Amino acid sequence: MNDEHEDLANALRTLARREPIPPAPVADLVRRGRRARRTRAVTRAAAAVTGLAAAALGVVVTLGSHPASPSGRVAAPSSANAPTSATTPSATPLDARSILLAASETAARQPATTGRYWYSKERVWSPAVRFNAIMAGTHERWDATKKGARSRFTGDTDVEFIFANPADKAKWRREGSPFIGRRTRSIDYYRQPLFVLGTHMLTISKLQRLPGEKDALAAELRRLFRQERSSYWHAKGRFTQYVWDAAESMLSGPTKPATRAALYKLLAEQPGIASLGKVKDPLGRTGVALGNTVRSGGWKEETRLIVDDDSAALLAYQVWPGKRPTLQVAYIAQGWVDHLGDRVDGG
Amino acid sequence: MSESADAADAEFVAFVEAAWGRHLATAILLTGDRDRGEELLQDCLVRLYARWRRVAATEPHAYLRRMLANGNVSRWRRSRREQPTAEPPDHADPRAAPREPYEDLSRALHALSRQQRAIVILRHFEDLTEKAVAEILGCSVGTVKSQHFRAMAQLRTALRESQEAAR
Repeated sequence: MNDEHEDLANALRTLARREPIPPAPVADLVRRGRRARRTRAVTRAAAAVTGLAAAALGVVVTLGSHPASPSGRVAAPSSANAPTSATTPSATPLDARSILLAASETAARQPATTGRYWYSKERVWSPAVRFNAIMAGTHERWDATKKGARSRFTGDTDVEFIFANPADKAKWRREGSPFIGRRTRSIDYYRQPLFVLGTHMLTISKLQRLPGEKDALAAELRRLFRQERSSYWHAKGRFTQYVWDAAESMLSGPTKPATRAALYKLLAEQPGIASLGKVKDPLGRTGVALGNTVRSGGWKEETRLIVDDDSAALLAYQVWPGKRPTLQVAYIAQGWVDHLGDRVDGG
Repeated sequence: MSESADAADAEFVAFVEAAWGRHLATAILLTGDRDRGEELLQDCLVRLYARWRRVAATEPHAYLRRMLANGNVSRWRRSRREQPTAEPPDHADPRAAPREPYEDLSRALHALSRQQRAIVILRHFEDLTEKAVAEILGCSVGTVKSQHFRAMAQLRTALRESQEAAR
């Protein structure tokens, strides 16, 4: 055991240090840390004011009562300073349950279709690996339904780096405008494309076999959730979180309309999902935002799904650990095509 | 800025300079990728700065380790779609190209669940006790023991199979 421990320790050391360790970006970390501390202070003060006001007025803050979120904290203010997403409080915002039930009805009316390839085009905003910056890039996928057929993933195009402050941008330019994101490579491959539900990997055919009735879908997701218990540890015991996480995969993937309808109904029954009102997604499209906050080991972050209330389609997915989103995915175009390289409208 | 704020910043900077290499290695192992590891560590250090006055008086290394282990789980939730890679495992001939040292270990490590991988890294790379690992991961010592046992069995099998395939 001791020999094994020592061998493994040595191997892990070699593995971790295969490449030279870069110097710590100390100044950048301190600058970002100061900003994070200011955000924490403002958020806490806002939460305290909200709590005091609610107590004084005897008001109960309920789900969907925009602009308060389920935790009672003030939701993102109308976001003149948020470059990629904006909240527009509507006069009488619907609660999350009503929005989800309406989405369920809309999804149920859509025809079931299928094809040889599931085409998807997404634009993703994620933190750059250097500077206080966000990288935006667009990629496309052609996921083959047939086992052994060729699928395609195209790496990021239209790449753009968005800097939080002019000083960082100027420094980046002085360095010759290097690529500071995570590179994705274009690739044709023959493995079956997989969609992630928890730690389960579902092929397109399995995704399409998910039940189209709410109770049956709930039973299937509970079955998958039970199997996760040992490894899906951050959400142990929280089925709501599991359904919420699965929703992004299911709504952005080639699920049947009946399954989407069942999923929306199931989400409507879950506690802790809040309506954040009408918003514009990162591409400026209007939809309704639903939010769910997860806490894990001292971390807290809200994930949002922005849904088109006309078509029940998923417009965007966002991760908000604080005042601004750190990850955003806008679903530009999705649908079935017959050939690699074909696109649906909007693609 | 006040003198006490300057002193706190200086203390934080000294901590980062001392902790960077060691914790970056852990973050790389947890995420399986240099860039992702660096991004994870940077995010954790930014959050640590915001809590520095409270944390500095306790055990900042332990606090940071906990943030890394749990932060990696948080990050994992963001990877909803499997990213296709250039490796074609279904048709690859393992003898076609020279294997990089420890490539097999890297693959075997990332075939483990996140919890198992974190346990292996914290036990064998960070050299922590089962009790310390349980505290970091917020689970029981029994869970650490059972998951560690399973992880090691899986690692041994994976490494043996890849060695046999390479012959």
